[in-house]
Amino acid sequence: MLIGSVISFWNLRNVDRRVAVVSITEQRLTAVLRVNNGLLMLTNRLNRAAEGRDPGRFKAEAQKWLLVFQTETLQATATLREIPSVNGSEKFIVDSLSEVVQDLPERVATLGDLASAGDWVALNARLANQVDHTDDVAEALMREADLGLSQVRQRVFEEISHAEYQAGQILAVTAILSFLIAAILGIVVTRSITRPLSALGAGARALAEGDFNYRVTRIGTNELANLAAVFNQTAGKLDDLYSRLRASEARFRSLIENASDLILLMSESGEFLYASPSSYRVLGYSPGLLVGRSIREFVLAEEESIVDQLFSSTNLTLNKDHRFELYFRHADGSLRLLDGIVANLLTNPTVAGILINARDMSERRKAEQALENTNEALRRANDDLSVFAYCASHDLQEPIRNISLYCQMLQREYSGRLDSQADEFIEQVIGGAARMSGLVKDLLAYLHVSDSNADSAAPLVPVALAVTQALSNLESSVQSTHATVLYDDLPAVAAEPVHLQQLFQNLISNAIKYRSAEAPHVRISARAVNGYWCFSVKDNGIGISPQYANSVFRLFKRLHGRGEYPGTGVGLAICQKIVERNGGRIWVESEPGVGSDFRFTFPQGQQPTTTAI
Amino acid sequence: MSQDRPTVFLVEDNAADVFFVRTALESQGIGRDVLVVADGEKAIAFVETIDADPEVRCPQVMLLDLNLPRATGMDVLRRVKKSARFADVPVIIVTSSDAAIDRAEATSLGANGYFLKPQNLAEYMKLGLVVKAVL
Repeated sequence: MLIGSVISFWNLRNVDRRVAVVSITEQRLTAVLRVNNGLLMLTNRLNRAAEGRDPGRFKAEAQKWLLVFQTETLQATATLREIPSVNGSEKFIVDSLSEVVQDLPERVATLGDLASAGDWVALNARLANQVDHTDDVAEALMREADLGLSQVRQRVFEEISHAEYQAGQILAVTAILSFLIAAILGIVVTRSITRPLSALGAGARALAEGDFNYRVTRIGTNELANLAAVFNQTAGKLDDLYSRLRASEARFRSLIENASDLILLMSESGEFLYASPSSYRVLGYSPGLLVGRSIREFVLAEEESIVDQLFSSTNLTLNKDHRFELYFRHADGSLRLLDGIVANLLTNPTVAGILINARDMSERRKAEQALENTNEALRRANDDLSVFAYCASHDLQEPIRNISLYCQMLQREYSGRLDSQADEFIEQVIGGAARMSGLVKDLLAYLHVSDSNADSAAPLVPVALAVTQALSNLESSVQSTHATVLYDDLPAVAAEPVHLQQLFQNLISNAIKYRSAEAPHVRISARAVNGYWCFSVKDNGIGISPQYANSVFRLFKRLHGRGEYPGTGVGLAICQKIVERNGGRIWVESEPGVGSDFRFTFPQGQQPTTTAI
Repeated sequence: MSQDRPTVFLVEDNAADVFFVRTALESQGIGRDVLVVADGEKAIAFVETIDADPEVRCPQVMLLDLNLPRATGMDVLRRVKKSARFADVPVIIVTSSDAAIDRAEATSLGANGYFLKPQNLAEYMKLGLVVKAVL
């Protein structure tokens, strides 16, 4: 279209130029006509003056009209000179006119001479010749001018026709091009807008139908293509979200379907809307047998009030969980104790029900009851044990003491008066009574440790104080055996002071009792290990064989005959009981003939004190 | 009972212990005037008799077992310390209980001594010295 416009503009410009040339040619023709008219007028005036046959007047008229003609001719020449050249004919015209203007005064003078001579015949002949000549010139000029004008006009017409033809062609081409462009634009628009929009529409429909895997083909690089990319990205995210949602839903469904607990969804009036598969295991009814029925059908008449309370408007409007216990009649007719929680989810549009999560507590309740019975029996046994301990400390000790005392009385009053065997018997009775008394006392001490509460809540006791008190009680044996008991900085531990004292007293006492030939040397130390204090009571005694390292802590376990070392076999059992009741453990590292290292732990309470010997 | 000899009021249900207490007292020459009752109620009744009848002579020392039938030694001690005439009589607890709680209660109720019945005869005989010391 632009090219057509340029061509049309060019043609119009040519036509315009041709029109200008026509105008110029017409101006030139006008100028020539004026000269021609002037010449005809001069000739005509000279002919008329010649008719008067008056030489003077002829000359005067001749000069007058010559001047007029010259003036006209000069003006025409000037006009022609001013007119732009078109085809070069202007020069010929101007030259012709100049020649006429130059020649004419001489000819007129000749005519004047002829008039003066009175040769009017010659004058008329010359004048006629003059007219002919003038006509020739004028005709030549006119012909020339006409020719130019005709040519120019012809050219103008041709160019206008050509322009019209070209304009028609251009119009036709433009029309065709416009149609083609419109068609191409239509195709382009169809390709770039309609198709992507259609694809996006299809994608939107796919998404609406739940096909999150659908992706729109991205066409081009324009905004719609970007929109398609965003659509695909969004669809991808939706797909991912939906996948996770499905996985989550499947997980939760699986949890519910496989839950051992009973999960029920109830209507506001107490009808089953949903029951988890566990309902068959717990209640003996498959979910299909429960849905649509009222929970009231399955509960005891006297417990319907519990159901009424659970589903009461007051409880439901409180919108918080309620715990309940309810007997539910199993399909086999037995009663099952359900312990559960009711949550009001009526306003939750995804649930729109009352959620019950319950479990069968029947067995557990039986177990709890059995445990309670066992605990009660244990409590009674403990009470009996306490009574026994009291009886043992008083009533049992008393006859033993009496036997011993009476035997001692016999010994004092009758020693030497009976035979030697009787004296030995009395001695044996006294010894037996003493051992029995010792056993009872140690057993009572052991029971006292067992019967007391754990010492974890006890205040922190400086261990050095317990050691000092133990040594005070053992003073006589320490002195008599020349024992040395040393101890480092010892921490404080949470324990009953009397237990802590008994622990060290038993261990130090053992170290002295089971001494070697050397004087007993006992070293007590403590170090922190992994949140515990690890104590060591190390001696240089006879030691313990490795195979007895564990059994020495058993109740009544003795490794030596009474003849060698007296004892009841309760001391280390008491030590173990005290340590274990305080959250620690006790063991022995020993080498026969070298010594024993009794070690035990206590939970750390605080940093070691600086108490020393 | 003679006025010039010390009178010992022994509250003890165990005949063996009565025998050994008497022996211990006799070893110190103070075992002749010993009044023995075998249960708590009788002991309290005697204290009340003392309070009710000024003519009845008040013992000079009381040896009291804790584990008694009908009324415990602590009940008896509590009543003794409320008595107008008996409150000032020295009371020595003679018992086989080594429980700290019994020692503490006896002390708080005003007992003047706590003698743990020993298994050794020689140790038992020291009770005579203890009683003699408070007379």
